[in-house]
Amino acid sequence: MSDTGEHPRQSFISRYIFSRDHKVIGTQFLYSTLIWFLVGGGLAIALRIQLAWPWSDMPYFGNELFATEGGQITPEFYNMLFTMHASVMIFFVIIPILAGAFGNLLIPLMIGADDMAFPTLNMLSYWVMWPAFICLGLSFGTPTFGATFGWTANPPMTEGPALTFWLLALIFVGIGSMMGSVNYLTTIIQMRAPGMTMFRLPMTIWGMFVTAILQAFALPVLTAALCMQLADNCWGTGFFRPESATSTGGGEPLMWQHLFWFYSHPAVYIMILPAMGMVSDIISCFARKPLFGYKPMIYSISGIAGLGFIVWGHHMFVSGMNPMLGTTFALSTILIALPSAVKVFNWIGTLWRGNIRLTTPMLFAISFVSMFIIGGLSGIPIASPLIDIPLHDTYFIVAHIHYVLFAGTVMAVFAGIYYWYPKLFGRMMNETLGKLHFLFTFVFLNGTFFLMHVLGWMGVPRRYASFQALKQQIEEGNQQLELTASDGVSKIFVMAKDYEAIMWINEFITICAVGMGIVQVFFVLNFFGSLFFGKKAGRNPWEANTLEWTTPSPPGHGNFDFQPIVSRGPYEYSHPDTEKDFVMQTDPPLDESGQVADNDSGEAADV
Amino acid sequence: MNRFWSILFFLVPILGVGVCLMSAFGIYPFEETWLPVDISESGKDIDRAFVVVMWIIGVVFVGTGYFLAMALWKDSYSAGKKAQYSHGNTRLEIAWSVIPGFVLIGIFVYQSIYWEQQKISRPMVQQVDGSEGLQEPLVRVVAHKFGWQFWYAGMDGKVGTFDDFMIENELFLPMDESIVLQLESIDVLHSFYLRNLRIKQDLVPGKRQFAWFRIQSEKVKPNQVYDILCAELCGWGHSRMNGRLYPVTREAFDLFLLEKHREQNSFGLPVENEGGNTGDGEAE
Repeated sequence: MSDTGEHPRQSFISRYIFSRDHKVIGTQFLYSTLIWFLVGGGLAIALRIQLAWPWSDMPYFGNELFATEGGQITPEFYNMLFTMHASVMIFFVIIPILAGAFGNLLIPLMIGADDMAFPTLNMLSYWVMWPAFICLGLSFGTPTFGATFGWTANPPMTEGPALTFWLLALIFVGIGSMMGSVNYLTTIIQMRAPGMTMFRLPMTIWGMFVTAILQAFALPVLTAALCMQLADNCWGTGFFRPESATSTGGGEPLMWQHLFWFYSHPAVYIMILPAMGMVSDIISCFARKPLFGYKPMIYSISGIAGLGFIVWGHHMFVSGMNPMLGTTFALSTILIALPSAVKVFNWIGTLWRGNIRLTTPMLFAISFVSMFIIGGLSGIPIASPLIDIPLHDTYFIVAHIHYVLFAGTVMAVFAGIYYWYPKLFGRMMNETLGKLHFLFTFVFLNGTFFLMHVLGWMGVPRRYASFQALKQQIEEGNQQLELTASDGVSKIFVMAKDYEAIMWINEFITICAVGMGIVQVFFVLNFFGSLFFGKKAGRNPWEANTLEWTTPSPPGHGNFDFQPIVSRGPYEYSHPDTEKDFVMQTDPPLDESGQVADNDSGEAADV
Repeated sequence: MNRFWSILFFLVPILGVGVCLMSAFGIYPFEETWLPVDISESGKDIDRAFVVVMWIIGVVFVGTGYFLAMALWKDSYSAGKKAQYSHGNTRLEIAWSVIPGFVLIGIFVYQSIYWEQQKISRPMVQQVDGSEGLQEPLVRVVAHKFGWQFWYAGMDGKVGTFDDFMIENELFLPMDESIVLQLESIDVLHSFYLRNLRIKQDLVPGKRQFAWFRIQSEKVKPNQVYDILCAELCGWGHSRMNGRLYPVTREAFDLFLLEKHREQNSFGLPVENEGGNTGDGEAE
């Protein structure tokens, strides 16, 4: 543990490619996911352009790919765009950047360990992502240019080579995540530094810990379901396919939805609990105030995870599932709003009467809270099956998921990158560029996603390649009806009146989405520029308490150049008996009278 | 600069609630962006539940948004100042767990009553022998890639029998009476979506589903035709899978059936779909 930087000489390949060092693996995850983030973002921009200006010519490749359509994309290509956008963003960006990148980088550093419990397994968990990358990449080369069935892949619509590649990619991602989760659980349970009790762990680690439990228990179900659908597709087994022209049947499409959502709803929490943990740490650090209600925060994370296992049916209120069952799922779903609300109240409690430093990571962290309020609250109407009837499969759902996962998690990821970048690369990121990046991303993301709620309560269905077909039909229908209506009154379709509103809102959303894509240039410039020109960071540039800030920046092999011994909780900011406004977890007890008691209990003391 | 950021966060609830209110009251540029016209009897229950929940979450949205931005406004950094040293407040934690808990359970109970009417209890009718039985479907809806077949009862007055006749994409329904539809799919998942009746039901191949509602004639404008949409991704033609709903009086509906039965040949073969001309039945 004391051999920082003094590691037996290794070849370039074993040091930077097939490395077993958690920091290198975390960085590999980080770079891979950021590249896929660009791919997913590009797909999103493409589909937004189709929605705002339907059937305009596709630039550059249009004439080659769609010669018969005269350069316009096909409706099936549009289906590919949103399917691959969702698949890439969920399975290649958000899950691996939280668990893979931040989990790997932070868990050993924050618990005071020199590496993960199983370094080789850790390396494998990254390298098994590559077959997944290759499979999904190959699916772009299939006749449909990728998967076209929506990321939920509901049989019996799913078929063809793109499905095979898509399923294989997800199976590999699942295997990698399971390897990771076993490793994280073991590391957190077994390898904490002396004195680091479970109730002295920072919230980031609690988020990772609970997430790893979710992954370990829910992923096998998805993996099994994926293998069954693979068998359906390749060998005609018919687990999920009823009798039809292409299948001898015997299967049950609803079964797939149950198995898929049994994982994919907990996956939503996998995609947000680590972010919540990171945000808790960042807010406490920059508010210079202990986290409000540390234990309630842990209980609420655990509550979200526990309830998260029994809410999957709320994706299926109108699926044909027994509506009585819908009532049960509605109760558990509505109750899950409670721990989420408790978390929001505690974050605001942490900020209240703090001494708030509005650095770039803090702005992103606060915006996570602000946006999660919207994403969380918009979940309440759709948690109620009655109100879900009109809102289901409309843009309201699209708005909800993006407020949780983009405006929530992705903003927290940016907060995490700006916050831990100095530790990772030894240099500070530029604050001016960071704040510009924050400001424009924040404005554009609200422009992009808020009006989707409006489209949602108007009843505009999602996954429509365009609303032109509707309008065309309406116009044709009107002409026909005008001819036949005996009383001479022309008949109008209700949707026709809404069409103008749908179109201007879609154009507005697309302009904001393109703007949001463009301003990421600030981030890219900042990220790579700071590698070379950033101000050198010391060990603890943010004056934070947790263990990773006691190591050199960047930490050498083995992380710590001393044996960390933990004597208090992670949130001892602005203690009245100290001169500085922070006390690190490894600092010895402050005085002999023991006035600064170990805050391992986190007991809620009255204000 | 800190003030700038707190104003930015103040703007979130202000603009958010502003957009919702502008949409609800049809203020420029949000004209015609509120809930779709409702022509059903039970739609008002769903709409009311939506509005009630929107008010509740609106209050929470403004409240939390205010305290968040206010904290940034008043507690911004100054050197030498020390933040309050507090690890929490048990009474506050209990209060902000219990109160939302009651509100959430309240929402659950309130909506469950109408959910039961909407999806669980299919209407009952008095049968010939005097006992109560489930109401039989008036039309059988068969979804396929990419259209809707509406099968009406033939001479025997029952759907699902050999003499049914079919019209593609055009659904005629009588107003002011309880209607049950039988929903099926023959290929992939579809979702039968009537925006103006607040009906949405996925159709699963191999399963029969039912939807029930009552069209209120006073809410129907003369000669208005309503959309039938597909709300579950079903392939390349998903967005083109549009049907039309014609609410008609009972007399017009009976006339329409009668005319179709007359057109039907003696073997009970279905009539050809005649497109928009089938609208004649309603005009008569």
